Amino acid sequence: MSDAVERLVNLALYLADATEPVTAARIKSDVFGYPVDQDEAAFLRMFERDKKDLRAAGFTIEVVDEAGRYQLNRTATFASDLDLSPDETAAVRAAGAAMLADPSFPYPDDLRLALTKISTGFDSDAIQAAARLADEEPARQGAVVAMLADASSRGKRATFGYTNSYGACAPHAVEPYGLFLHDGRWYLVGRDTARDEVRTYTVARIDDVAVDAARPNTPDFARPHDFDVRRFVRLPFQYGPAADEFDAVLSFSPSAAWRAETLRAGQGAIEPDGSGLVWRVPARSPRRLLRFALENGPGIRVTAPLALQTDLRAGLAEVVRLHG
Amino acid sequence: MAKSPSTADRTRRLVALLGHLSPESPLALADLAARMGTSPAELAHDLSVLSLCGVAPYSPEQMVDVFVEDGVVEVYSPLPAVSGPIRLSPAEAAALAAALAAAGFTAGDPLSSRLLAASSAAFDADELERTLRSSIATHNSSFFETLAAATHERECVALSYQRDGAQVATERVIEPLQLFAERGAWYVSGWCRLAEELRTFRIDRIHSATPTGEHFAADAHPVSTGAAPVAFSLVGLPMARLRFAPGETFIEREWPGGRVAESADDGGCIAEVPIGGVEWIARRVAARLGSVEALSPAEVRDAVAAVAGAELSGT
Repeated sequence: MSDAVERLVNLALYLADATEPVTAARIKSDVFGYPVDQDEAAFLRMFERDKKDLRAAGFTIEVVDEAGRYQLNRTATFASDLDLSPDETAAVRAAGAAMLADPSFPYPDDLRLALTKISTGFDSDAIQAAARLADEEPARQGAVVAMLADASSRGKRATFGYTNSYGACAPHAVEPYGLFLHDGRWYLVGRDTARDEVRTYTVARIDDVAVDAARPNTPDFARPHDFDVRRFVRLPFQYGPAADEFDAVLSFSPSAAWRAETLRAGQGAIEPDGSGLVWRVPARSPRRLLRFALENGPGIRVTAPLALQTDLRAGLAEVVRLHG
Repeated sequence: MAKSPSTADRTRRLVALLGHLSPESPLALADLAARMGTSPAELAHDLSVLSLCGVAPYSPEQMVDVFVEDGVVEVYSPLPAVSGPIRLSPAEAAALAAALAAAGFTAGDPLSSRLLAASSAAFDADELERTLRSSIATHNSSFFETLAAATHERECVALSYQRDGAQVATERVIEPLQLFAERGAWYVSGWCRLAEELRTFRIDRIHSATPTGEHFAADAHPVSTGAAPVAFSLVGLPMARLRFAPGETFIEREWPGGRVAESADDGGCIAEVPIGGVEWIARRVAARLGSVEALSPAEVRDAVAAVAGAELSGT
């Protein structure tokens, strides 16, 4: 009996070689590896699995007419060689090597195959790059993110235990909409089905993930069409009750202005102000806002709300008194 | 015990190789296996299966003419029906996009766009952008390219760099050795010719990075290639003692490597925190606006007072 891999590669090469669309029956007779004495129903089940596996490998197999004939879309299947500059090649290798060595990166196997496909050479020189995207239990976070990302892409509900910031653990059933990485942690955004609200969960606090295994090819839910996970990334001073939200303005001195875009993390809006910049951004925690400005200073100041300047002066005076 | 790869996994592995097998370029089996995360023996077995594949009528010239001899993968004639690398599947494209995003190359970056143009039509880059954000880097991606190439080529780089808490940038030449991502940022470590010691530089604090054309010896500055590299080693650093007032919780993630040394009945505590940098720790203490006090060493206490005084004079 031939190896199933042999049959799949034969099918791929056969479709790539075919000059006209072919029927399933023709494929069964021409491609070595399909059992000769197999009944039609069993063959069709095997053929369906094979098409799915080849599509997962990057082949674009199309049904071209009502007779159900198949054809490989060669343009959509074969790529041209990439012409990368030495700097670009080095950057891809460094990013790839770093992620492959990081247990918190959720897709190492797919990345390895992608790098193999796009590689213009197989240079074995060691690449000195490493990453630790998530700093707490990176392997566990990577595995949980891989499961939740798969559930999200297939529209399947997930259940898990979640320990909140007060240490209380409770079960949750969630429709996973998206995932993001921020400040050394992965986060899940999804609709909590019991509360009927979209919430953000810290992946490091998630345990015992189970994805609905029933009808794996049928989605349990549809993600809102306007969902964008980037809207859920928050800065430290943006956590707190929605009722506490206020408009903050921070100014960047000319010497600190170059860091504004980095610190903004996509939040709020920046505009020129003389030779410096101002950043208008929603905030919920005055204390955290002042902390953010001071930690990232010098040259960053909260200019609104005005009342915070009084708090800032009093706080700094206390620091001077304590350390004087 | 490692899980055996499925038929689909083995097929994907061989398919990934198809576009690169040609009579002109023999490949080292060990390199290929390392690249693909498998053992040479397992890959050799799969390549032996590949040598049995072909297209009808399966005559010798219609077979994949691949052999492994003395650790080298040799191909003796062009592969039947294959006209280039197979495009990335949606899962592969998503993984590559996530890796590139983590290194600062977002969806709109020219390098990402060109690489993802090699993906299959089923890959939806916009959908991925809206559902997965793996970017931690806010640096200029061209600096990452320059530093990656310089690290690989062992070429010196002139940096304009503004360190944490500094008002202005300083110019220096470094011999770059490693790139790291840790705690939400990328760093390059290397020999700093200005400081004459190994230093780590946060890439989003670099103003400019220019290769100088000068190369340094491979063994000039040995670096660790351990399995869990870190940008900063906290081992052996002097410790600061900090008093946390009641209501100001000590959170280890905010003070890397720190620990609670004494807990007080009133809910406060005294913590010991490695001094990664005096300016760094002084800013963090000052930013707590009196709810954290640096008890020792005096150098840190003085720095906290100086930071608070300077900020106060500017209000």
